[in-house]
Amino acid sequence: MRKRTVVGETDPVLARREPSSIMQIDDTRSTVAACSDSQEPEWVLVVPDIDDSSVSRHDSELVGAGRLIAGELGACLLVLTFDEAAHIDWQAFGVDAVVRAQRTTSGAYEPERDALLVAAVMERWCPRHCLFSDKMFGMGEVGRRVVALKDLDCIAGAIEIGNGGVRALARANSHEFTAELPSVIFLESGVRCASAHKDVHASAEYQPPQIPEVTTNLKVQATRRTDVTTLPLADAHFIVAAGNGISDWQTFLRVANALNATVGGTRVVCDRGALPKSRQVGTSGAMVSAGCYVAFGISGAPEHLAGITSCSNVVAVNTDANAPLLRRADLAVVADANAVLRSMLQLVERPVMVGAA
Amino acid sequence: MKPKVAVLVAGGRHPITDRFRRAAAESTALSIALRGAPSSCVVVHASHDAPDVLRWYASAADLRAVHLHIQPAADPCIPLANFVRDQGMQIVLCGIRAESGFSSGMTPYRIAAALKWPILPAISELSWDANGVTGVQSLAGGRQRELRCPMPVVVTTVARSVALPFAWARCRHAVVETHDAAGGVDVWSTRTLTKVKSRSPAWQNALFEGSPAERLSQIFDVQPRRQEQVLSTDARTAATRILDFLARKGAVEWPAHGSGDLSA
Repeated sequence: MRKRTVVGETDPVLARREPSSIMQIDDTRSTVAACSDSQEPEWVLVVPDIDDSSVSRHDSELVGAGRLIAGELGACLLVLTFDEAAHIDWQAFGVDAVVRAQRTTSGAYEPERDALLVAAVMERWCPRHCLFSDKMFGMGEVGRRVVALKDLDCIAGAIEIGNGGVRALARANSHEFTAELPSVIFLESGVRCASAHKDVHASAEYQPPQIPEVTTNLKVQATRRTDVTTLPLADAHFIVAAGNGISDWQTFLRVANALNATVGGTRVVCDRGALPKSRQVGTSGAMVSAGCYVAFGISGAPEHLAGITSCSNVVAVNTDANAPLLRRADLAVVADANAVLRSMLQLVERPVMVGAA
Repeated sequence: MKPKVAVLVAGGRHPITDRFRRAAAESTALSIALRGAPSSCVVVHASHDAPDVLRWYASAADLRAVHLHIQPAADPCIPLANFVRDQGMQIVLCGIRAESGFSSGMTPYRIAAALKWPILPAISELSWDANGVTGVQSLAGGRQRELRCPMPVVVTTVARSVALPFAWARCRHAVVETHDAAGGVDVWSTRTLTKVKSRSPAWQNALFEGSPAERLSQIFDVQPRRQEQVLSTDARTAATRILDFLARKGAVEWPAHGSGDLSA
């Protein structure tokens, strides 16, 4: 029997469990009152997002936070997933039980139906606490629908969980507050929790409760892909930006197009008219949060650096080795940006290179 | 016939200076309402204090502005829902998440639940006809999802770059109707907000020392985080290193060998 590692107190309920056993849930139990009278273990429910059919870092944090709360309460951790997560082995994440639900169409946007399903799961398993991501799409949206539907107490923007309490951000992240753990917690990304990958043990698997057929109000009419190069900078995930060091604009735009990246620029180049004002990155333009930001010929004025503080990965190409942006960059290249762009164009315009979605 | 639109607004706060301003998401909601139904649009705000916030939004056009006066610890959702129902509104527009208060993003969902209306969340564009509304959600990676929903409906908007007309003189002269409204006890009222401490010292220093550029540099302190550096190399090698880096980060698909030697 592998040892279960939980941050906090030893879990007395789980300590009695055989890892290979499947707990039998009384199907007749459907109310919170019945839950409190039963001898069944308490549950903590986590509903991860599962973007791109994989467990993201934030999903892992959600499971870690759920396990932390379950450990403190002596409860079991239940995860509700949909069909896009069918292949994920939740045993490896220290989950005690999994409810695998199916959508009418795989990957469909059905927040109203998902909310009813989550509400049905909450009614059947009566979890003491439920955790959702704090995003406004995906399960964050579904969680808010459930909270409104069942009139539950909730806290959004949670950044710290422990000792039966939660610390959360408010007022556009400028303030914070602490409170006792509510029924539903919306967890911010980047929260440090117990590692979800160190607790490997057997977990049970359940079918979701049946929900009646619902007539949804929201109908998806179309899903389309817009031209990434002209995407609003605030929405862009991959930006190629130009500064005063760029003179070969045709090559720059061809590289951005070949890389399938959104075009950005500094205030200087936008003021000069080389790029439209909507392409300006910085405090007087757009504050961007791209996963990758490639800066060609940008030295890094403070206003520009302020605009890219949320970018995860920054590449900077500049002839000045002391440019502030090179200090900020994850990959700093001391070279002529125009020459690098020309070489890059030769490489990326080959047919083997395809811009990722 | 144009639908009656209520735009629910709250005050905004600058994310760093915490100064009062119009909230970005609510401004987007108002701009959408003004594009579609300027004559049948009402700006509504529920709070216990002075309705200055309403003047900021009402100054955008000659709009009817309504302040629902509630007790300090009262829940604003019920008075707002009652007002919307009593006035025969068909579309409620509001920001996806308040910049003031507890910013939980729950208010639109609670109002929709109280009204038993559907909710169309996180919309960046909206149009309507006699049968319903069509909204566009902007998703990651440049994808857009077009959704159709019958009226009446609650619609939440994400913050976009909008330039509402604004003038201090009109702001001063905006007429605000005040209605007393009763609401249940807000569970959030027992929770106390405190300013995030970690930001204060840097800001205090930054606000009083140096030139504007130096103060900005202090605030957004550039921590050395360089993991890789390419020095004095030829352009082709530099280009290859950049593409290898982007491929590792998942931004582009790049040949697995990634050496840049593509002559073969």
